[in-house]
Amino acid sequence: MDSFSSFLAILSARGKLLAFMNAAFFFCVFVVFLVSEFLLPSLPYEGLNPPFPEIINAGFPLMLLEIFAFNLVLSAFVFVTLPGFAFFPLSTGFLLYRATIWGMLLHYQPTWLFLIAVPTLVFEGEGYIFAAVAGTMVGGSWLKPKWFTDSADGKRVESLKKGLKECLVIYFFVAVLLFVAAAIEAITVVAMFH
Amino acid sequence: MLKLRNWKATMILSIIIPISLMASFRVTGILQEPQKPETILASTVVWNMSRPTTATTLNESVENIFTDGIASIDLRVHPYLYTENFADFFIDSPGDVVDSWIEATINLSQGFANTATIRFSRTDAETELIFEETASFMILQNVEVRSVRSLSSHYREAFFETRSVGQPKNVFLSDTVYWCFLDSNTVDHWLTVNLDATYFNGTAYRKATLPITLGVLLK
Repeated sequence: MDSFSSFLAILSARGKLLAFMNAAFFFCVFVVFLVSEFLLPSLPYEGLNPPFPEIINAGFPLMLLEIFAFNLVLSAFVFVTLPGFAFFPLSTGFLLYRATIWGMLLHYQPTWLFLIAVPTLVFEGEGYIFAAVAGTMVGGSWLKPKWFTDSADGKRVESLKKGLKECLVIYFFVAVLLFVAAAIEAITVVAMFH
Repeated sequence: MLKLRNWKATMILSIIIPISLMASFRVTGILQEPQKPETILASTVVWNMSRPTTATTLNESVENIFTDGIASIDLRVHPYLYTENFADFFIDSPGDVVDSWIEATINLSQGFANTATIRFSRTDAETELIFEETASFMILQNVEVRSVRSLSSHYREAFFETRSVGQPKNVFLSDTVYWCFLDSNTVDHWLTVNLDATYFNGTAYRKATLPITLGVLLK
């Protein structure tokens, strides 16, 4: 309950940043989806071809765990959050890179598969957006303490501590969002391939 | 409070607007969905031999050809050597191996070749299949390898997946494969080799599947 109220407090404090990241991510997916129609070569849809059949053959619980762990550790933390720790705009940059990949992937899917993928896109995308907010907070807290924390004296160490604390709270909800996304993806994959 | 509602509304709208636009563009046909290629399945060519008990030179050739006036597609399998009790590919004890040379050719008078995938599927658990991944054994003309997976105890299907480079009218790929038997001359072995060739004939995409079934049977 404590962490939830901390999360709400962070949300209301970082609302603008979150809203900006949301708009940037989903509009980037949309623009890439649209632009791909004109710039990328038209390719045929050759049916469902699982890229990692070994994950699908592993069974539902293991598949869910593998998708969740991969998305949380590699896709969210290593790829989106961690670069932001070093230089905070990198989190937004890598978030937009992920949006570009999503846009291109959706472009090559038939309409029915596109519609099936939408719930996964929303939850996974939100997970990455929160991960980018966390990376931006920590990176900004030591690079520009006055911008990102309330510490009027702008002490970097105090500011960084506060940033890391916020990051930890946000990451709890990144995990929740990515777990829901992994569950939806795993159910979709099982329904399609079995 | 108004501030909180503002960013919440922005968040929700930034999800709803792009996704609704993408969905409506697709559903109404403003953006076309990817074309599903017309699939053509050629008749299966079957070849089998009795399993030798000693090392034997085979020099066999099995071929399946498909033509449609625009495309001429050819899958060839050349089983050239049978080796008894070969140790290199086996962990526990030596096994028997059929060495084969696989070739796939796509020639088009118009349009372009898109992908060529050779798939191998086994019928029994006592079989493995290893691709020769040394560059000197693999010949690729106008194609690049996307992925290769050998047959092992984990996978029932092996594949050699390629995508054309540019938009070529002629594509050729070949490789050596080692069909390994884990049993001691106790079971019949069957292996299905499929070439899936996708090409654009100038108006539409087509996918031709050419199957060859190979058998090594007990006497």
